[in-house]
Amino acid sequence: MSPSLIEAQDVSVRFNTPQGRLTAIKSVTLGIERGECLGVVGESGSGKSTLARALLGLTPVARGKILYNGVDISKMSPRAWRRTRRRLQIVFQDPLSALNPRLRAGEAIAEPIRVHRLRERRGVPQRVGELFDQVGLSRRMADRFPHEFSGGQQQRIVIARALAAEPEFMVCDEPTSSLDVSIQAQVLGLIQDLQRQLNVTLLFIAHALPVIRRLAGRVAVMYLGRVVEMGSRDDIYSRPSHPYTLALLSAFPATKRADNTGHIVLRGDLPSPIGPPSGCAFHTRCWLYEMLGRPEVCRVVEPPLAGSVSAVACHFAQDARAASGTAAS
Amino acid sequence: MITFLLKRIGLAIPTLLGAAMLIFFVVRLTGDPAAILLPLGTPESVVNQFRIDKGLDQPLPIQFEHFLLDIVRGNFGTSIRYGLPVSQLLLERLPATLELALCGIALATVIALPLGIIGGLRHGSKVDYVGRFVALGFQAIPVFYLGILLILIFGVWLELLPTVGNFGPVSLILPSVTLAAYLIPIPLRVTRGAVLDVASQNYIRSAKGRGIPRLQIVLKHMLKNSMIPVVTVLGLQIGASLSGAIITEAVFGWPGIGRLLVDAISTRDFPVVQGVVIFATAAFIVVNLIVDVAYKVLDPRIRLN
Amino acid sequence: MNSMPAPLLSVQDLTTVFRIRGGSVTAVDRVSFDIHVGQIVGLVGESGSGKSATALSIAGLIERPGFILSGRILLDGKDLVGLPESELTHVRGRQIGYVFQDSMSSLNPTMRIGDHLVEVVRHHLGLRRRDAYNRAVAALMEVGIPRASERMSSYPHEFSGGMRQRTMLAMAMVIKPKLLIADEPTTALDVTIQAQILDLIKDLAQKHGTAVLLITHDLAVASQICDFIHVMYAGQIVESAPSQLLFDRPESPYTEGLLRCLPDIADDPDERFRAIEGTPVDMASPPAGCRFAPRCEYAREICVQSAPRLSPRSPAERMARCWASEKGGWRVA
Repeated sequence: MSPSLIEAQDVSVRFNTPQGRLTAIKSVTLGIERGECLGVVGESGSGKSTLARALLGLTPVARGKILYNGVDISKMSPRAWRRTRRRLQIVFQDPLSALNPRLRAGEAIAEPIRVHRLRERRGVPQRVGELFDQVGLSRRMADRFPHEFSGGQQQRIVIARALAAEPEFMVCDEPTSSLDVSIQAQVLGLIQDLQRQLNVTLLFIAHALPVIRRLAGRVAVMYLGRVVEMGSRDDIYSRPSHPYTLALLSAFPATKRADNTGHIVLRGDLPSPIGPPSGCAFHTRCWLYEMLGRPEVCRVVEPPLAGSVSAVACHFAQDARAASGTAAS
Repeated sequence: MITFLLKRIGLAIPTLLGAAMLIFFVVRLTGDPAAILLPLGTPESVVNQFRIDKGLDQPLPIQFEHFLLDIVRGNFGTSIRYGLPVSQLLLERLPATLELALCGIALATVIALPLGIIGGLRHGSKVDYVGRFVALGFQAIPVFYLGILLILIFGVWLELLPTVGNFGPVSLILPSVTLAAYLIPIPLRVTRGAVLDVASQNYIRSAKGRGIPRLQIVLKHMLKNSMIPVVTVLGLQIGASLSGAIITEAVFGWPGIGRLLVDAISTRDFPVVQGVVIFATAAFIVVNLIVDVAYKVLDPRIRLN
Repeated sequence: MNSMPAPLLSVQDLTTVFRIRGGSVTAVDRVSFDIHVGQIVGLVGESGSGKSATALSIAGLIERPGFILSGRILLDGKDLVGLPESELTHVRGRQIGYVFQDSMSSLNPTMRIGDHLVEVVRHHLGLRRRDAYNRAVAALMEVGIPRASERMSSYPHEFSGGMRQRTMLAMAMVIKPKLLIADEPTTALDVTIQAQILDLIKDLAQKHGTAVLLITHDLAVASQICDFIHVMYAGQIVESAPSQLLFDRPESPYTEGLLRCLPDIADDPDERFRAIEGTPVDMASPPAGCRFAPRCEYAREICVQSAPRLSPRSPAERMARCWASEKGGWRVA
């Protein structure tokens, strides 16, 4: 039995749109072990949200398998799947739309407990109170409606509701992107604490690298539906190998750097997932591609994700590492 | 665009067929035309002969089959009451209805649109309240009631305007006003809502930020965008004017298709009822098609998808 | 004689109020600052800080139920407050360019990109169609839109977020305003595109000698291109300083807190997230003393009782609003 709680094996997800066939994710293989936090970083079109939904069984996969505890979720019986569902929870970016505006906060949090019969009727209010405490909300607010809370508080309610189902696996899809900076830190701190206390397995999706540095043990960087680099936190932040990762790291605030050296600005727009560039999907914006004189292999051959502990999908990963020594300060 | 049109025309055929089938069978549920048209006491044999002559004795499916075949050949049947071809009856009365409908729609548009636009631009103002009051009032008054009221005031008490029949343009006044009153409320409210909605959009504020003067913003930016829902509604109103026209024609004795239909229903003149309904359905389909095309022309987001 | 040239924009004691049910909210509370020609100034604050209301007030875009209660806004010496609308439309777009936050909803969906640009050019410069068209194409090229002349006939929804934002910049800069106000220009964009847009703003500003007022909630964004930063909290400016000094040595606890929230690659990654406790001020009834006191770790009695004023710090250009960091105060920076 594999140690991974959730695993994606060579998964591809495709949609048919009026403009053509859209490949949201292509040949993604990764596993998340029990108790760890995996960070997935990518911009629009990277497929990160699609990946999350595929792992939760919310999106059918065109190819490949999703395994939960070693079992292919598409082969599960409806009964088994219903039982599994409760253990998989998700926190979305916009808390206000994730909460039923007609349910008071306490009711919203109580709902999963009741639906999954995790407590006896009498025990529910107390459990709700516990959850309020856990997310740092005052119990007296249980009677309020979602719109009466601030953004940060709403997100806490969403987190409490997710925890109410006693999940094994939680996906946080950019949960703080719509919040103010000072509140973001509060909510991220909360997630950090909860993860340590409850040992929940976490998939944290972000659109930039700074956010997940303190949360993730391992990080996967995605671009246009493909994983372009994956490794431990130190690998990614200190010894990045992919030109895209290096560009993303440039987004770290320059506040404490003496100057803006190493500030890589990518040119061009994100390509559309319908009709992606040939060969390496990143070559159209890749600074290394330009620096090396536009080698043909980047246009023609798609680089495989190679490496054991830390993996990178680039024909010139070594050159990227060398360049990063001089480029990034 | 061509494929779109072809698709829609293709869809129109089963729609018309469905409408024809529905009206065909439903109208025959209303009873026996022979019983209405022939005086009481007519001997049974004569009644039966009447039925055979008019083809009413045959089983329904056979009647339907004949009906369809006839339509394909352009023959909408013969009026049981008048003995004349339905198509002839229709064409004779069509101009009158068109006159009334056009006048009514024009009058309604000229009142509803400006009131709606100004009401939306200056919501909360007196003009806005007048507009909303008008909309509410006209929506609440039943068409026939208003018609009769107008007849009473202008025809009987003041003896100003003719009240029955079509004797020239003056006769058009009261019926048009009545029909217009029926048509005003919905476009007025939709226009007002559309303008209000557009006015609060970010691109209007953005245009203001670029220093574009207010009048230009209203005419150039707001109007085009607000017209999209309004065009849809106006299209539906044209269809609605048909039903409004029926009642109006009945109240004012206006010699149009609506009146023809009402009479035909009460005399159980099946072919005429069928003919008018199918005609109305076809008209509705055409109007909807025009609205959809206009929609695509006005909103590039719809066109390019 | 070396006197400092007069500022391009001088905001003096600006107060903007919004009427709400049962009272009013003072969104901008006696805010004063200057912007000099060619300077890039950042106005940083979270939601409710009043930064957007300040920017909208400067451009005369405040609509009911909001209005400017008092204060002066001097653009090249001329007071914009109280100017009739007919004159304001000449200032807006011509001397002050405004780029809004959400580029998708800020573009008319039924109008082509080219028409947006041509409209602005023709209105302010009175050029003929042909000339206006060429100017528009040049503007699109300047902001880096590939195949600019083809793109003139595109509709907004056919553009990506980054391209739309570039278009917004083109529309604001095409007639070369003296001041560009960019209201959260990067918030809705992807990270790699954000960097592009910020660089573009800086390039355009330098090239045309345009001053920039950048509104953002993200200090990191401000740090990338701003020369000078004002930090706002609860409708007031709480700190003003040149960028680098602000980051090296903040003089107000709020700025300090914000900086702590920013991730830094040199930090210990296993450390806990450091946040500012508490929630933002309820602007309908702000506290009598220092507005940040309820959330401040340095707060003392005097902070709760009496509101500090914005006062100078060293070096001369710096200002801060905090009892603790004043001369003789108890907070060692």
